[in-house]
Amino acid sequence: MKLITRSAFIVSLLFIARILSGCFNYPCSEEVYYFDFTEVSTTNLDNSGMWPIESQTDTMKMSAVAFQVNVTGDFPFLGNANQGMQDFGFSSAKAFSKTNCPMFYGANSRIDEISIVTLFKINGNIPANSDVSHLFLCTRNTGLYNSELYIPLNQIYPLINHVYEDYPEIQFQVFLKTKVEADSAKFQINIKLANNSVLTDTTSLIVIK
Amino acid sequence: MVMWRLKSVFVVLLLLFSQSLSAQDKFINSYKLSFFAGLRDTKVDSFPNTQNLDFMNYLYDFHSGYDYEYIGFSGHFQFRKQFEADFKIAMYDDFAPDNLNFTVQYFFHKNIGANFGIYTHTQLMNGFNTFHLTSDTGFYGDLETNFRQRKLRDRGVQGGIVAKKDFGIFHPVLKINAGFSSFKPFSETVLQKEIDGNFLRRIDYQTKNTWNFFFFPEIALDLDCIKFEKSKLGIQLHANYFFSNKSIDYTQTVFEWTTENPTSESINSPTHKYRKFDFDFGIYLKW
Repeated sequence: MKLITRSAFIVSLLFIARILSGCFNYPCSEEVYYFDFTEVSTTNLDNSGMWPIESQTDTMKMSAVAFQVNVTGDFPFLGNANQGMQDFGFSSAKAFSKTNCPMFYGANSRIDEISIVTLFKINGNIPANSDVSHLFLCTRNTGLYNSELYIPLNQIYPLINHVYEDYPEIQFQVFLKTKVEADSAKFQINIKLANNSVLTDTTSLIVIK
Repeated sequence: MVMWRLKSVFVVLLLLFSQSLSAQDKFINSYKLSFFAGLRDTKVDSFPNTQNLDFMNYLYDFHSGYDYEYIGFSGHFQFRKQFEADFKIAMYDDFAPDNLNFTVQYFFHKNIGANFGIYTHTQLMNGFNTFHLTSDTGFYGDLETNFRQRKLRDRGVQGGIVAKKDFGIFHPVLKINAGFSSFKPFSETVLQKEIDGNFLRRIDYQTKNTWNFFFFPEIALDLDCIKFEKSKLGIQLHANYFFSNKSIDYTQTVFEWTTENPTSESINSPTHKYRKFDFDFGIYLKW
């Protein structure tokens, strides 16, 4: 009986020591995992209200043509690979465990150029198949923060070419400055990478209201 | 900055309260410390909207009844026979001790003297974005949906005459002050968006020091109630009236679509009658 009590006492001490050690703030790894961008996709935005929101329809107001652009790469599931037991004991009990640390991803080929081509006539001055990149403004991520305004498309590169946290993905939103005077609109978005490859996506056929 | 000023005030107070130092005993002849609670009523003219925002239209003025309750403490010191000093620290229901008065009086006659001082009072400004919400048709007037409230800091320097008379246990003091005051400059930003459109507009406001003359009479009535061996406990009534024509001028910068090529304009706002009545009641200990 005495042996059981002593053993339980020692195990309890180990438990307590492990819980205490779980309160330590372990430094996160800053290792960067490199990947290749493989796909660009666009989503319609409804920007008729106060804030742009993802739209489930293909209709837009003539002054509120906007899209969200996602450029994604292969997701290597490195987060799970990093969660293996790395020391003796109850590692998952750590309050600031390494599993809470963000994963860092860097693109092998940065984005060098974003261009947008209208596939339909926008108005009398802008015919179909024109490059309308200069008519689009953009915001980083998904929305406007801290009274930020738009930035020209050609100024977004420093904001998107960096190390990404958690997912190998870039999101940005593009907004057309000009009114679309036609009944419908469609755009092709081209993402040129540093290795000279080009990723392309075409928006859905937008009905202008 | 405020903390630094408060620290300075406390250092001064600490020096004044250091009675254990014999040098201070000679320097300061009498002390009075009080705790008080009071009410403040402000009245501000409101003008119809014009082309430009007028911040003075949005100063908090609850038209029926008083606008603020406050509590605080004050001190009065007599030193070198002819000099007296007052400090007053008050706080609204946010318990921020940011209503400060400090004055020094020089009595060139037994009952009459000159008064000099500085003050900083706070004043709420509520919902200034109403101007944009109602004026800018075709736009979401302000994308900030939280209630817009800002505490303005009115600062002033003052001078005037002071008269006092002792009637045994009753001690009235009258001060007739005048001076110049200005709201401390502040900045505000309004982000607007076109309804059914992508167009974004940002308006940045940066206000300026706009010094306006004010008139500021005060009356204080002290009544000694209980006399101890070396001190007296009493009650005090204090009232003051602040009258000024104030304005808040500013620079307005408008950005459209992007932060490139903004347009700036200097706006001189109309002056409003700004009146403030304080009444407080408290107890004091004098020694």
